[in-house]
Amino acid sequence: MKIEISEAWVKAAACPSELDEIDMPPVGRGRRSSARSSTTNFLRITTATGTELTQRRDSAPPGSVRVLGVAAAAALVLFTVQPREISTKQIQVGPRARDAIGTNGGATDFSSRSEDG
Amino acid sequence: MSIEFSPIQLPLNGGLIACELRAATADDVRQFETDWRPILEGRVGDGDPRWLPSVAGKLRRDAGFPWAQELASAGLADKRLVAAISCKATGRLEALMSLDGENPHWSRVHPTQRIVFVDYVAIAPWNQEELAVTREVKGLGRQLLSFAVEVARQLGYEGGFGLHSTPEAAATYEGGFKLWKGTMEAVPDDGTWLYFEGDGAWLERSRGGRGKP
Repeated sequence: MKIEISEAWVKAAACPSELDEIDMPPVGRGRRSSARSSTTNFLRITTATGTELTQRRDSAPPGSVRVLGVAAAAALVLFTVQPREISTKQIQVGPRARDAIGTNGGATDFSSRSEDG
Repeated sequence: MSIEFSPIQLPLNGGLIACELRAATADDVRQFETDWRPILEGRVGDGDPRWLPSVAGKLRRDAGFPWAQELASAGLADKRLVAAISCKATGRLEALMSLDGENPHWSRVHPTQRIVFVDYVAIAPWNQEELAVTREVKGLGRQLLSFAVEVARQLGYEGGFGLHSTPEAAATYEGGFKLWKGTMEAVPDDGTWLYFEGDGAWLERSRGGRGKP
């Protein structure tokens, strides 16, 4: 978009003001730059399957970031519930999943985990 | 896509210096790095007559402002900009300001109104009373804040702007520029800062020359 400055604004700006005598202190917070640099301006999530989901951090409304997180979690779940393809040596998973794999010959057994809902 | 605006001629110091308010460029960043930063880092000769004795060896906060990143960030966003004021005759950079109208910032005075946020402002060392024996261009702060009001109006935000101040600068914003003073605000992973806000009404008062609330 384009900012069009009116002639009236320029004329008013040109009029001297007592504020002109004031020494303008610097404005700028300390670590703000590192949080908003051009290279870190993107939110990247790599799923267990290696898929990289990318979203502009500064343009993403809160809801879309949440959706992105849900998508990443869903991808992880889809991957981990395919027991025949899972190798505990290749994939680092949480202790519950590791228990399920290790105690039932690689098949996922949820029968003893009803307390988890 | 980002905000664009046409250069504006600004006669400063009573018309003695013609300046230009325009979108910042990579050359402005280069000038900041080569011409401003050594002075802001205190790397000046002990006997240099241009600078006050207190300048030598003193690192200032504005030496580390990431203008290259600000410029890159403005190029990626629709409603972010970096404005520069330079001397029309020589092209010398006099001041820089980055504005964020992209992320949702809300007025603390009128909480339903969106505002633009002044992320960074830096004034050339030779225009700072704290540094230069003879301050060259005056009025840069007022021009930049007035421009922030104009940008906020054109974005449909009622002309409001906000900024975070260090405690030591608070007296200047409160007593000097007479901005509305908010409270200390904690910024995640970035410390606690004193909030100030201005708007179109502030701009009108500043043009009146009296600066009364």
